[in-house]
Amino acid sequence: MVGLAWRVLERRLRRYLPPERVLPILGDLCGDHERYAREHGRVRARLWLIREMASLVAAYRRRAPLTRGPMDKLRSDLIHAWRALRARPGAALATAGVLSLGIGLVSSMFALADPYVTRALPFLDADRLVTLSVGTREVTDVPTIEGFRARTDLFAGLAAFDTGDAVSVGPGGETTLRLMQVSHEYFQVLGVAGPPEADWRARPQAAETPVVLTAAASRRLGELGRPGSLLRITDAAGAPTGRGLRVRDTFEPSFLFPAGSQPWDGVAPLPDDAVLVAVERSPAGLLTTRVRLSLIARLQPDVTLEQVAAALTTAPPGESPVMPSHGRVVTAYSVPESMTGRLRPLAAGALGAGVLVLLVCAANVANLLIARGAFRRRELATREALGATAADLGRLVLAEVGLLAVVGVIGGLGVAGAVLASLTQVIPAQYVVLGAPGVSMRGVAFAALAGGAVAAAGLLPATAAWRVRASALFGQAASGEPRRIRAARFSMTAAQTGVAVVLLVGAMLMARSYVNLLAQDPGYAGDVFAVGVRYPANQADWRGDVEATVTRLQQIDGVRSAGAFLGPLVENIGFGRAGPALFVDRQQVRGWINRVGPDFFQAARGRLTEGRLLTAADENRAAVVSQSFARACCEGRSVLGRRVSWTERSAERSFEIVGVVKDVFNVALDRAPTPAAFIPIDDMTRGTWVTYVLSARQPGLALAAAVDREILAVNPGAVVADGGLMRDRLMRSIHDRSFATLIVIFFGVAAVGVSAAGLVGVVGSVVAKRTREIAIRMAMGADRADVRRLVTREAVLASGLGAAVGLSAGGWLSKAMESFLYGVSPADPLSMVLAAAALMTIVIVAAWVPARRAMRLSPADALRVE
Amino acid sequence: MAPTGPLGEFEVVILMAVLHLGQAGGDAFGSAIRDEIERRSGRRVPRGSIYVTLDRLEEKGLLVSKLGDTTAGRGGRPKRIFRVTPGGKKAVKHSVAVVTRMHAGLEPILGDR
Repeated sequence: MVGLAWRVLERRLRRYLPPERVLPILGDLCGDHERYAREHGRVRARLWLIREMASLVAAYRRRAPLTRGPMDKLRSDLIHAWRALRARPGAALATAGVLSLGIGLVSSMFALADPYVTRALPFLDADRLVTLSVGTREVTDVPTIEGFRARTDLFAGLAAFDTGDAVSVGPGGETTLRLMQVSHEYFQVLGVAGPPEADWRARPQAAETPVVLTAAASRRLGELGRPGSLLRITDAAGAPTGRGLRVRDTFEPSFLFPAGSQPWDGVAPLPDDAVLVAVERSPAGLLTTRVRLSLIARLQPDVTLEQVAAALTTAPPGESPVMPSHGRVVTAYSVPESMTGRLRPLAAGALGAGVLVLLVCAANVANLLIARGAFRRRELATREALGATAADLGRLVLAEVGLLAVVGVIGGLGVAGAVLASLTQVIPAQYVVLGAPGVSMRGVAFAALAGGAVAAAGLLPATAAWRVRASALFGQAASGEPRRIRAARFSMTAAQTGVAVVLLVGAMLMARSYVNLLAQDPGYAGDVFAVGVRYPANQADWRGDVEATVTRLQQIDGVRSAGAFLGPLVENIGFGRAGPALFVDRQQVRGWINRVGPDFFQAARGRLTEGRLLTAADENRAAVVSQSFARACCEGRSVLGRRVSWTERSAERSFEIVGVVKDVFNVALDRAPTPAAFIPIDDMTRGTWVTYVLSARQPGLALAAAVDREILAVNPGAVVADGGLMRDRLMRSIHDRSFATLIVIFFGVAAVGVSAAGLVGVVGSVVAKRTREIAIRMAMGADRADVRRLVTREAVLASGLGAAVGLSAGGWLSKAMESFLYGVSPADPLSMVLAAAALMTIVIVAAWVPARRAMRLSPADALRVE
Repeated sequence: MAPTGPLGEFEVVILMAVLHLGQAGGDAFGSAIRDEIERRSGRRVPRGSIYVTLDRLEEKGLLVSKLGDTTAGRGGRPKRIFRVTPGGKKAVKHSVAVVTRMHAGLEPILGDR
């Protein structure tokens, strides 16, 4: 204490005098103090010294200080702050660590959410961009792109694009480029610079195709990626084909493809014949349409998506234009909405969770600052006695907190970098359509802002502890702490526990919901291999192709059985429309008709619960139904032998139910299967999408290649998607949820971790502050249990109160999570109890660690501390 | 050198204390000057006033100072030893003469005799 007083005095005098004048004054005082102490004793000498020092400072204060610029002041404040932090390194590290963690977490979530929540897409008037999907049931009303272009009342610009192909380029075919095929208007619609129209006209016979590459692809290709260079196209074996790609231009680095999350490398011209939504007449006289072409358009100002869809959809007289049984359906999707719409809630939620963690940190920082302030009350009182003004003390405190905040921000950016690097490994593809998240300049600015806010929020409640009182100069009373400080600490502890409980409740609900998802029986085996195939629409012998393909698949070496399912299977694609009304014994049953090829259930290893499976002889005769269908129609009675009937294309259909299977998850693992009746593929079957399923000994890459080969051998026009195991498909179908669960659990754990660290600090500071009191109590006969109660009571009471408030707030807030939950109510009592129990356990353990130190104190040692 | 105006009483007291200490062969530094004043006048003056006045007198050119050696018991800090300049001596003489002249004739009223 006296040492500090000397330093403060020296610093004060140096404001008014050069150092060579200051030292003799201090020397005189030192000598006189020694003499006084010899004559009057140390205790009186201490008071005498403070009085003499005050007299010195008071005398000089009336003089003009030596010129001292703001930078000098800042420098000396920072040096003092640094010394003060170094004096109690544990507490300083704890505060900086808590700040780093909080700032790091919220900054990483900001980096993730920023593009989706706060920033506009990098397109001119992005709100007016739409993609159009055109579907036709019949060939009588096939639109052409000219037809769309003619609607200048709706569109200011319209372009066609197609997914195109991957091409191998380079001397040995070592580089693969994925090129999107686009019509020339593409550039104009997006509002980006493009090559002249004449250059972009694709000439199928030409040896050179113009391309515009993305900045990333151009960088990857090096010299070859520069505008003007020629990329030679090679075949699969790496031999030159004699054709090449001429790089016309490169996109700006900020360019994004407005549709799809595919990592395209650039664009090439769309062949003119494909620009038509073409109608072709096959040799057999059947009409064939190519309707898979995608269109992107810029709407005229004030035109809405609904107006476009309504204006372009055609329906026969008397039928609803929403889904005509034949005719054309045009669906318009907003580009910004399809790129960011489904991610925005999760991004905003993650950012919100980050802010909650930051709140926990702020409460924690406040507590740690309260502890620091309590320890430094005497120091500050001394400074004030020696003439420091309120502004001086304020600056000193601000410098100290500011220094902590700077360390916290730097550490936080490191934490954010690490979090983002690990997130990149697990992030679903749709979350990187606007680029992989990273720490940008905006991120740094956000982190600095967060650091400032947390430090300021932490400082406010701590002011009580830092308020200077002259009484602090003279020893400390046994109780040691003013009530205001205790109250501030109590409320901060309660607040941070409350927020941590809210996050923990969220984490528990998400975890339970995820466990529910994974525990479901999807109705087939996980190691079944499946592959989706799109056939050209309205092809002549569609059914024959499917049956021939199944036969060929069954003959692949190692395949036990193969089957077909009409439509997408676990592709996260649902049907927006209702199917025909189904009846069992004249009673209507809500459900679907699913068509399956021979041996589907055998190949998928579906679970039969009653009756038998379908055979090849069951066409137009028999159906099996799912358990939920059976329950819906005949609760408690046997469904076997009853007939399911409906009207399809004006024909009455009626099938005998011969078996019941477990429900089949056919959309996604989080979309409860609708009651379904399964019938064999028949001549009334329409559709272009088939999923083949195979049960095989070794479902690996070799099998995938063989399956591709057999499908294309039957129909070379088929488009075969990547095949894979049903287990992987199921997991992919809930990728969004997996990611959301990961994020929420991550934040729950982080909040609890920060809370626990803060509690260790708080109880530790209580122990340090009350060491003398503890010693006196122990000397008076208190036992260890009394001491433990004394130091942990406050933390446990505050946490208990916080947990109670947090639980009610969590129950209320979790309603917002309802859409993310599966099989769990937002007010799930088990999650609430588990969250509270987990947190209270951690609180007790966190309080126990420093309490043990207090319990081990020996009264004699403790009294010697002062 | 700053122009020397009329000296204040405390300034004269300090100059005289420095002269006394010099005459006795001791070092005239802050604490010693303060003790000397207390010993001779019975008046304890605030420490701060001593140093501020010493600085002012040096600024007026009535005192000069030099740093002495470090001595034990001072935390290793040097003394600043003062000496009265000829101008200082003249100023003291002048001040005393003024006081003497002003005092002359007041003895009956002040009850000095």
